[in-house]
Amino acid sequence: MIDELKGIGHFTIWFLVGFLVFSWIKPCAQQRPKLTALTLYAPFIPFFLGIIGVVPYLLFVLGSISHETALSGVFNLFLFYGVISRVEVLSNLFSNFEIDAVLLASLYLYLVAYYIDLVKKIRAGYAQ
Amino acid sequence: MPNKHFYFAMGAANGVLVAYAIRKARHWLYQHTQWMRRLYRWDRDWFLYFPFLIGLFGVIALTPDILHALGILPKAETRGPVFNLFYFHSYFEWLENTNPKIDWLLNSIGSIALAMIAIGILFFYIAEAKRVVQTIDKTKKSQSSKLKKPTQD
Repeated sequence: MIDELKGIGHFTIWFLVGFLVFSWIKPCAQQRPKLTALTLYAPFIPFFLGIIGVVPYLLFVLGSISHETALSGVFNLFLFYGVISRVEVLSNLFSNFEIDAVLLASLYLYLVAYYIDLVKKIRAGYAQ
Repeated sequence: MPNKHFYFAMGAANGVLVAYAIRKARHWLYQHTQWMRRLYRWDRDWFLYFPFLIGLFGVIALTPDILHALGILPKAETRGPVFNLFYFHSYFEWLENTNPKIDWLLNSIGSIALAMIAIGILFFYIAEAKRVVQTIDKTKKSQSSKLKKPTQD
């Protein structure tokens, strides 16, 4: 039996996609000698995508829309919410709350490590 | 049954308060305690590691569930009054099991609190990076103005 993909599943999928985007642009951000918006705010990309991807689920949980409406065409504007909900492989991978939580915590710790490294680099390099 | 993230969020929120109190009192602690001086000797940017303290408090809040998951105590015992020491764990379990609406409400509060703490920590780092840059810029300016200052003779 396939578990239904819930809000945390959608959030984890898009957080992971955002994290991959962040990993891709991270070397560009670190090449800049001074602090830029890219250097400072790049780790927010996973949160940004994750929150957009979970909007239909939040509207459904709050009672603003029905489950069928959330899966309908218009709500695919929120990062293919309806399409993703029907993909069996994603449902199998991301419907377990504990696995999602561990994955999110690991990725978040990486983002924290990025900021710690950034502040230390600023203190060491920018001061020269 | 409530999700674990609610208890983790409660512990993490407590951890934020403890981290904030330590940061506020760091000068006093530096003057009066050995461990704070050791902490500064280890790394002058020790406060950058404070999210680990917050995480530790979150894990402490999950102690009853961890004891049950490891098979050390049966579930019924981890719902005993003594486990209210862990952020009213037993009381919340009873409350949430008797009222599904409160269960939903507390889980939502837990999710929002966790999101706020997680994003708030990242904003703290941004503020810290900007503060370090400003401090360095000020030091550079004051040094260059001292060098440019004409002599009286």
